[in-house]
Amino acid sequence: MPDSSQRQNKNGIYRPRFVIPHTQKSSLTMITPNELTKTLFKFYPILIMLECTLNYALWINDDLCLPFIHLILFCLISELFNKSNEEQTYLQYSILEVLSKNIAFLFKRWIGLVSACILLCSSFYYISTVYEDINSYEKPTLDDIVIVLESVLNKLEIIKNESLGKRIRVSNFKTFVKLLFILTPLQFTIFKYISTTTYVTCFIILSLIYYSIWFQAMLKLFWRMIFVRRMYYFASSIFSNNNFPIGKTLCMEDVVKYEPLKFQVPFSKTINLMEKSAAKEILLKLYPIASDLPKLKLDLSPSQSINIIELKIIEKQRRWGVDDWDNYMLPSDGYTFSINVNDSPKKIENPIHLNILKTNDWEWLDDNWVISDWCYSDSNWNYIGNYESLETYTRFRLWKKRLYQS
Amino acid sequence: MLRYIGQKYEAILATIIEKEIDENPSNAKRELINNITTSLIDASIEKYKTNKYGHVSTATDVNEYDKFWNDQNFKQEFEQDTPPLSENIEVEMNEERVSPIDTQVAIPKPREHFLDIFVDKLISKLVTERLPEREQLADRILLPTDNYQQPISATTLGSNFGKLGSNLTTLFDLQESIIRLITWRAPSATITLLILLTFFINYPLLTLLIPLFNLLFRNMIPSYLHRHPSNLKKYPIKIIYGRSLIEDVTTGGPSNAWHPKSDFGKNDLPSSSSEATYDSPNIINDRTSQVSVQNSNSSVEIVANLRDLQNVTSSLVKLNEELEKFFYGLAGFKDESQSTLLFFICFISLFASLGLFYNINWPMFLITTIWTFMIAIHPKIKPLLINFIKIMLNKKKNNNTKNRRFKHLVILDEQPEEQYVEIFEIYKKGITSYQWNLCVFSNQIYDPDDTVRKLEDPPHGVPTLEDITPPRTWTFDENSNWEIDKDAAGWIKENELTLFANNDFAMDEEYKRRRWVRKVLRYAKPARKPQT
Repeated sequence: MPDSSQRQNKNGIYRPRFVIPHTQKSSLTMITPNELTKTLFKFYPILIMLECTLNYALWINDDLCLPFIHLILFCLISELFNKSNEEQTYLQYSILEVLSKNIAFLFKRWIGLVSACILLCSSFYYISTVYEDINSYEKPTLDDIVIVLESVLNKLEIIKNESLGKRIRVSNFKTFVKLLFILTPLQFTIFKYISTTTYVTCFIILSLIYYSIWFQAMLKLFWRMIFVRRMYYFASSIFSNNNFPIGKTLCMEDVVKYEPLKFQVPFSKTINLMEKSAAKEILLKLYPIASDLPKLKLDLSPSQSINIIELKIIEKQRRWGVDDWDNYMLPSDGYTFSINVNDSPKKIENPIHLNILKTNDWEWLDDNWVISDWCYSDSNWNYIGNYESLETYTRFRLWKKRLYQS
Repeated sequence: MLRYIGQKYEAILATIIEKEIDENPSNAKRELINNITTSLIDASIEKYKTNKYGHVSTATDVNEYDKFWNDQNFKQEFEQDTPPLSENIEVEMNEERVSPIDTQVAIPKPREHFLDIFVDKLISKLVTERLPEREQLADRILLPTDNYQQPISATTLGSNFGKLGSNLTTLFDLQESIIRLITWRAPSATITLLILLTFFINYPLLTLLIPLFNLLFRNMIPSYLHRHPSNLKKYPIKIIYGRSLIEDVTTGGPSNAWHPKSDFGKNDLPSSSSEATYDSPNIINDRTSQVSVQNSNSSVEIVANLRDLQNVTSSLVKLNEELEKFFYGLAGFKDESQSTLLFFICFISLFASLGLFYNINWPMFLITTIWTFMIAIHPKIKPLLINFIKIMLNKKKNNNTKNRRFKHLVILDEQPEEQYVEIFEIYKKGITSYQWNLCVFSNQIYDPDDTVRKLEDPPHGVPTLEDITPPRTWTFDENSNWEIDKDAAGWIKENELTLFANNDFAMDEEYKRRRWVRKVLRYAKPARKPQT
């Protein structure tokens, strides 16, 4: 640590130091049973080969040209399965033309065969040299083996985390049938325009470069585009069962029709005969705005009780820049203003516009909306805390107001 | 003061001139002497100015330059850090300097030498007539055009070459790498080159897409990966087992003595760069000397050539700066949403052009593009077009709803980087064994082996936790607070200290300390900046 970092700056800036995770672990050599060490040693060549394969898949070798050459060799193998198109139309051409076409076709086949051979030999050569090297170099310690093992695990973890299509999952027969119905015509049209060789080549290239850091970075950049997300959510909504409901926006007339929202509170019948303002005052005294209502399932007769709706509207916002909160939502976010009816969110109007009641028998119990503080959450609406930080991309709060049936 | 110096010089020189004139009453000589004196005065005044205001002007220059490189993600950090220019040493976990700006600011610009200024002034005084344009040089017609006039200056020319110097290294590196490819020193790279050449010879017009491809995958993606590195860890694997067949066949097997493996790669790099630095001044000298040799018969031609060379270098420097601004700014994820949009547009256009490749009549396309471009830059049409574009842009600006839509095109909601920072609350033993006085909150453990303690200095730090600023480019997580590390024995062992744990505290004879930990967050690493 340089000396200057310890001193306090003239402007009063003093910075803490980072907690350095201590990866240096105590040696395992003496404390591991012999049998385990032996097994691990036998397993070591396979581990090394796995590590090498993963390096190729992630494109993190020192020499990036080698995976590229192998990629080209893989693509050239598909030439082996290329069909000659001109078999029937030989009669139209002169002998020279037929010959040259045949030579070109044969040359392609030969290239395919040679690249297949090179790849096969290359892999055998690699395997044999791994064993040869392990025998000729000094024996690895247990720690060496564990380091390789950890490296392999880290790479596998990355591959697992980066796999696409976590939401599109074939979990039951219904989605399988859906998938079949959508993908079959798609494949059919693709094959109409693209030859089998091109298709296979594209597939090989894609599968070989998919986990490279460039391709993954590209995918991450695409994921930032809103319209890409919209398309993805649309596709996933086809396959998943819980589609986002596209309901109409509720107003107060619709809200009072929902039975699950209402509940009864004990209330004397005689007061029912009183004037509206007096009844409201007494109700407010009995059930102040801050207190929770007794949510009991009582079998009270209408004369002994009164119906109350506690309207809880959830407002959501998303951050679109530095301190730029906005009601604009992603398709997966749900609605800006919603109420929960039977645990399913329903879209509702902005509470500011909800103050005028058009129903005759319902009255507002509270005069104003009680608005909670913002709760901050990450991009997937997982609660993080009550303060805005770099981690928080979304926030939500509760608007509360009560109604009673007069 | 200024006037005083001017007067002093004039008085001294006037006497000299008078003497000279008396001795040689030739008109031409008097003019020469006059020129020399005036340039001497001018130079001294300028030198005085730079002496007095030099610091201020360079500082503002640097600041103006730097404003462009301000990262949009670290707004607060820049506001906070603009005053302390001296504090620029930052040790990151990755052992990487984060703030090249501050180093830039801290180094004052070297002042111009008096002689340089004098020579500049002298040249401009001696060559009073306007220099001819290159195309008119043969005819000796002195028709000046305003936009191409630029006084020649040794300092400008020199600084231009200095600025271009860094780019020349890449050129020489390229030369070195071509040699490496041709001599099969890196066989896999040579084979890759051959494959690519085969491909492009088969589809020659695809070479047109190489710049776009390079921009996307060799500039933008690495810039993005620099800001948001993947969480791939590096493990210290000592020996690499197994060899590649292709590599072994092309190098003639593992026992190849021609070029042992360790020879290329590491050892080649420094030699190439050092060669480049040795080469570059020679080349420049060659160029200038060539120019002068060719045109030694006429002094006007020499100066005109020098002027042209200076113009070429100036425009090269400007082009280089603009390119840097583009590659490190817009295409370098300085502003992430703009760059993301650019990436997307480039990607779509790349693949659209690949898809449309065989459906476009390329000769026709190129011919129309070249014709339209050349017509568009016609001096009569260009201002009209610029006017038209300005009007269109103004119309767009009026539409606020469009701006809103633009804002909602890209979403930046990656999980920020997480890190933990530690601070030590240090107490000093009082008179009795139970009395401990709080010293400071320090970022040092201040154990008996601490360098500051060995110098018998009190521990450095701040009196409260609130005075602590997060590490540069990081912010404290507002939803977490400073927390005491209860496992004192654990962190003593991790840091391999000779302290003993007592509850939360790590004690020695004189001092005790406990460790506070807090989470810090950062959206991304600062964007890459060009090397200066």
